[in-house]
Amino acid sequence: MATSPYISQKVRSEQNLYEDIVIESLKFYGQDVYYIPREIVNKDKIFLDDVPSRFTDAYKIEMYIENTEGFEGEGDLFTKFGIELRDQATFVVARRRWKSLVGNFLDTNNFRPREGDVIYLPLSESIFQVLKVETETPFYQLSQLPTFRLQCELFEYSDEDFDTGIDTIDGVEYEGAFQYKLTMRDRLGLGSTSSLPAATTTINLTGEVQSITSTIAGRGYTTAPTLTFDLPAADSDNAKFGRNSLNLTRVQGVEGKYLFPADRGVVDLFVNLTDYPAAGEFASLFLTGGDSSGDQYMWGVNENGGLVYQRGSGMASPVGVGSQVISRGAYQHIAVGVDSSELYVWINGTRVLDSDAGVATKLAGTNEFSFGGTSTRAFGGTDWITARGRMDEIRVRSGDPDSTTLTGDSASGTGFIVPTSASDSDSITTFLDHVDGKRATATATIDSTTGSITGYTITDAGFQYATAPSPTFSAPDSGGDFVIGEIVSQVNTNYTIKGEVTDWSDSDRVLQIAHAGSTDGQYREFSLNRKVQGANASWVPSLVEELQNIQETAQNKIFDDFEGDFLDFSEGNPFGDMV
Amino acid sequence: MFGTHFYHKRVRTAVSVFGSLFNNLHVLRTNSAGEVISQVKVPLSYAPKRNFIERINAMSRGEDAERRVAIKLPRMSFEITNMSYDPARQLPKINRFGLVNDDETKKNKFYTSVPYDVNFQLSVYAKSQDDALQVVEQILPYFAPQYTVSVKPFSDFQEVKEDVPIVLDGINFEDTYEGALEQRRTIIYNLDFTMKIAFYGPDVEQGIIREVNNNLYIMGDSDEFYQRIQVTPTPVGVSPDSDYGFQTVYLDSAYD
Repeated sequence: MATSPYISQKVRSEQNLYEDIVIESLKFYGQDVYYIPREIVNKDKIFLDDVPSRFTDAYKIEMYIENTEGFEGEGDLFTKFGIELRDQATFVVARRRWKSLVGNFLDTNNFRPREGDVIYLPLSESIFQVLKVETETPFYQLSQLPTFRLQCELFEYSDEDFDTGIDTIDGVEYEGAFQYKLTMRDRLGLGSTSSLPAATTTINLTGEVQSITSTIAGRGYTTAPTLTFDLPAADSDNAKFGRNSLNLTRVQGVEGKYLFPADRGVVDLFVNLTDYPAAGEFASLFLTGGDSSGDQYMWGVNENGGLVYQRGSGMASPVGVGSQVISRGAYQHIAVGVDSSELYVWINGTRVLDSDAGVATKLAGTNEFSFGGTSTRAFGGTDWITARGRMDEIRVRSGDPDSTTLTGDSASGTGFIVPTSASDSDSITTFLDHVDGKRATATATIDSTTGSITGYTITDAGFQYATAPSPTFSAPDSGGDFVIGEIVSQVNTNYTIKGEVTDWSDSDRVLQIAHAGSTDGQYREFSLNRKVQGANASWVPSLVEELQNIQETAQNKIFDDFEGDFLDFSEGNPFGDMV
Repeated sequence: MFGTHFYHKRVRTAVSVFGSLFNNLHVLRTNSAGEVISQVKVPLSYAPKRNFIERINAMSRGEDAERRVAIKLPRMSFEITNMSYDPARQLPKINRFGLVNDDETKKNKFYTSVPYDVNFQLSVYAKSQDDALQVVEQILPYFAPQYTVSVKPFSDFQEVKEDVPIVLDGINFEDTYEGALEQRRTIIYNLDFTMKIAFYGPDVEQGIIREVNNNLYIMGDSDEFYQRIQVTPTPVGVSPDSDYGFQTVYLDSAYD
């Protein structure tokens, strides 16, 4: 016989009222607990175990503890493995509350509490694992199931990772996880900036770094630090273009070889003379290349500011170029061209020389060129002195010297278009120097024991430093503070070992790391003399020890210490020796 | 009846030797990428102990931590389960061996030891099968079925060494996976070993004969004294464990 159609146990309003009363009762008589869902990191598909588990979320919710006289279970047992607490407890939680506070935030299996999840009871500061969830107790009163009944026992800790952000819960791993204790190498006060390495330099007249002297050797480096020099300071006011120019008065010059030799081409540059040489003297500006010293040309100015030149052989003295002078106090443009034996000269864009040199000649060749102060020398029987002033924007290009490609002058065919901005290098440019200064570079060597700098090697002296530059140094490997909970790593040759910081003491430089493991899947230990890197800290361990927090009464170390007294492992302990 | 106190700590040493074999085993856990995310040294302890000492040790982390978890795993313990006389290894009881004493005029003497088999049981308690099997597999290959260690049986005589075989007799395990859902699952592997040790009695300190005199007489009615042969080590006062020779002196007097 069917049930009476006039009587219903499923009146929604009554069900809601009943559920509300249950919830209210649980709020009155329950306890605030944290429901912590289990995250299975890697499931063992053979044994169907959760080999490592992680707990990263904690949801606060009220639950009623059914046990009124104390926890159930077998209580405290003394077993062959030590003290074992077999407390059990039964928690009751309202379905609606659990779903709204916990279930809605879970990705899978979120319709009820799950066996294997964990409950933290602040009352006793204990962690319980859910063993069984009863979903039908009490049994369908008013045709509904308002509560879950969670049968739990104290959690067996096996190096699980607790990162809920609640200290009292996460404390279980700090207390119980197997940890490494790393004592870091003493930095001898490297905490302050002034303890970083420092060095001074000396420069020569041309602004090249000549030597580096350590004033503070620093400490804590495992690899040599990187030295960085600033670019020479800009001196734009004295430059034609860009940041800087050759200071002829300070004998600054540029020397070298052209990238490729050519028997036809043009050299052009800007000079700003402050003085002309004394009467009877000749001041050098630049020396062009050539296949031999005999076909090199020295170019300069005479006592009147006239442009002069002298060939390495066959000319007894410098020869003047036209009547146009190189004015002082402002940049003047000089261009010199060669086409086999034909010489061309333009001053400020006006051709002042178009002459047969009488001999085959070249601007470029195997012999080196020299621009500026470094061109000062005895040449062709003349004692050329140093010009005073500035030189900038030096350019050498190959090709027909009176072609429009080089002169830029298509109108008259005799002029030279003076650059109005810094030039770019192109396919016919064999040399281009904006003379904007050059950064020095150097390397350091360190003492592997102390991590202090022992010496320097200048790899590039730089150029045009007006004052001796001081290098800056990369920070030493040691320093900074580790943060509890952060992941630190140590990179070794074939593997990287990582772990979670559980404690850090900067006063005695002791770092504790739990959940350590290597990326190559093998058992590895932290190495000495390799830095352990955190987000904002890096230190080098000098001592690695093991903290056996898993069992307070572990005797591993005791047996290990005892081993030497009564065991004769002349071939080594086959089971290995402790760290 | 026996009277003389002696204590060579042979069983105590056996426990320590056994413990030192298994004090450096690790368990590794990996993630799905094969990277180790946790490596744990398995704690080892001798099982029988004072329960209050264990309790006090458990309190060392303070009130908050005392009842936080039920137990921390994995862990190992071992204990002696039996001791029995092994007649097969018994040597003649009048055999003895001597040892050098610090006093060069004396030596120490031990009589033949009495062989005993000491049975140990090593238990491995883990939360997962894989953890337990990692531990077991790090042990088994070394025992075929025995592994022999060289033990110094006397703390006072470090030069004495004896080979002590440790035999793996068998393995059994319990895995209480069946039953009610609310029942705890425990995974314990028990490995039974036999350590073949020897017990020694007290050492006896004995003087060393450092001079031998032999008086020779002419056989006959008069038994007239003929010569005395005196043998001593050279150099005089040398230690028995040093290189030395003998000096033989022929004397005319029987009393020199």
